[in-house]
Amino acid sequence: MSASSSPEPVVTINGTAYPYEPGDTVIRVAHRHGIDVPHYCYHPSMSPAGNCRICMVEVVGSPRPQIACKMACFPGLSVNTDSDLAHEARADTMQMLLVNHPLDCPICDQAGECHLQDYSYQLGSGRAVTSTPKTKLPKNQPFGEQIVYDAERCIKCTLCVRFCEEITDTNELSMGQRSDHEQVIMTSAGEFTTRYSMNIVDLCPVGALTSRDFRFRSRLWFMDFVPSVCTGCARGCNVTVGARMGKVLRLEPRENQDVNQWWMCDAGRLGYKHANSATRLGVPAVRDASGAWREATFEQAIQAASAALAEHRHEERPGHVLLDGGATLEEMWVARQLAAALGGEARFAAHVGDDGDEFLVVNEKGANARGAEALGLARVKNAADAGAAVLVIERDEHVPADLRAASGAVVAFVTDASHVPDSVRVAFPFGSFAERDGWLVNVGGRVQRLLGTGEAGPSAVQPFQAVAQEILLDLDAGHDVLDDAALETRLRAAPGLADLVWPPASREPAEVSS
Amino acid sequence: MSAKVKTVHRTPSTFLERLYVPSVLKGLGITFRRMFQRKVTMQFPEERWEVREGYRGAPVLVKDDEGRPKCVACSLCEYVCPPKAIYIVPEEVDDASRAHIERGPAVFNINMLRCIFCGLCEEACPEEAIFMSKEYALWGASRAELIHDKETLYELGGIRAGGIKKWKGK
Repeated sequence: MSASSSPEPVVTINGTAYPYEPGDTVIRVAHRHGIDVPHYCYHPSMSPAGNCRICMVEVVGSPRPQIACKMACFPGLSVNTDSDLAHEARADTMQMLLVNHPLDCPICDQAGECHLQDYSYQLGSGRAVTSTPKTKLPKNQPFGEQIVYDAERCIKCTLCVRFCEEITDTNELSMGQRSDHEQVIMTSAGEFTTRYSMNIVDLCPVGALTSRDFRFRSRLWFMDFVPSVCTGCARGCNVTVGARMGKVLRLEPRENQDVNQWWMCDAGRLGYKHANSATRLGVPAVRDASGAWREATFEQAIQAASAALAEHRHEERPGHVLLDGGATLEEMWVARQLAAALGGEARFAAHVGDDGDEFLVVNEKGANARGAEALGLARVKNAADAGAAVLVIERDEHVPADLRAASGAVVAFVTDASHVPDSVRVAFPFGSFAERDGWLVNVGGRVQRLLGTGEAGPSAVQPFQAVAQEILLDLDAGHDVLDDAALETRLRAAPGLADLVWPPASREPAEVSS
Repeated sequence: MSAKVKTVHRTPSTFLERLYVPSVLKGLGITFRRMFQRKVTMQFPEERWEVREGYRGAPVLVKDDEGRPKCVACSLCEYVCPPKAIYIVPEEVDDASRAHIERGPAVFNINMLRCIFCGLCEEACPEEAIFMSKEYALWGASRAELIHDKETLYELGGIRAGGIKKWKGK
């Protein structure tokens, strides 16, 4: 196929013609059509720097290979990404990049997701041709509070520098020194002014920039990763949650052009600590006659909760269910049914901050506040309205101590045992964001899937939906128990929710990027 | 019944045989005689068998010529270990003489009740820090004693000179 036979301009890659738009570079067209072109310094969100040279491709009719990230498409252009010349050029580039690289993969946190390691494996020879000693450069340099820079591992791709220039426009980083001693330096007084600084850790194709929070915590291959959503604020940035042995270890942004592009804020990234709290409630607890807590099985606790709630209903105290603003739509739906059986209504409380910006962070911190409003749940703002029979709490800031104490609730579903107020007689463990499955509605009205991992949190936590419906059955024998699939069908058709942006029907996460 | 069956006639024991005393004395006599002959068994545990090169005994951690721990807690042995006998928690090292190495184990446990002495940990180690020793006599008064911790492993391993010196001068 040639360019002239097609009405729109095409570029030929590996013998196949692909259409392109004006201004496209070869690497963009190739990636759009699933053709792998290796790259370090290229990122679709930023201007091409063209300094790593690993994306070299053969240009048909030219003796010299060219870099695909800076090569603009033009009619009649034909390139080969998989030819001998391209492979040779990349293998030589790898030799060059590894001249000063310390190859300390056993120590480096990037091992397992390092592009240098991947391409070394694919293209490298396993033997260095240079015999000169490697340059010694500063290691373990702090870049702000959260980031550690290792100049020896750095391949000077300048992605981090360009991120601070082009994405955040804060210019904290710059390149310093020359030649073998070239390294990234901080231009500001050792602190980042942007709240998105930790994205450069993800951007770094090697282990030069590592996060102090995750540093040396675990090897990647031991961890379980699930595509989920950040619950730090109502933006609902798409993230990958990494966990191991009952602890959440890392959140990383996942590409979604409609929500967070490729990024997330530092606060959201570090906002998982409550899931690893030392005071997590792992098993149900019931207060005995003397008021002391004792552990119980789910069956015993459900029985005790039903009895306590029946008594509560009999005394005609407020039968509301007060939910955390990060609860899923499923949980809110079941909470509404439970509240109806108790003669009250489901309500929610969520923290509203004042730190929203024009990029990602929004003031509304309840990850599902929009969903709660769409379901018609009233918002509890002060202790005077907090009266409830049942509390559902994940984050302390959403349902703070004064609301909890004023609620007078007898049953609580809590993530942290320290969040149980004195009035409560039965406490059930409630999963953190990393353990629960369900739908959340973000600030833009987009319904996204929260997905849990079995590697996070205490092992025996049962979902709120299941436990609450058991209690409902005890209170009202005619209750029709719904599983998650049946709940989803109802949610998709529910008034207020049906016209939101739902992903296609499946039990899979909302969107998974490559 | 076929013709191949052979009927064995048992001779009844004599009175002396039924007493057993002569047999016991005969046995004691053999034992007594052997006491003055050359010993053919090894007097374990006072004497120990010197095992051959390549014997795979208990895995141990070693230190380099300068007495510095070699392990960087890369966790490859933990990953490769078939019975999952190894458990490692990495940490940042604060020892100034090894600041360039950055990383080491905070916890390094090998559960010797699980270990199958396959030697894959030694093979996987990129730092030449873990070796199969010649230690074959492992015992403990409790299960906990047979979970070798970092200190035990370094004590058993001692200093191993030679090998790669990846961190020399760093």
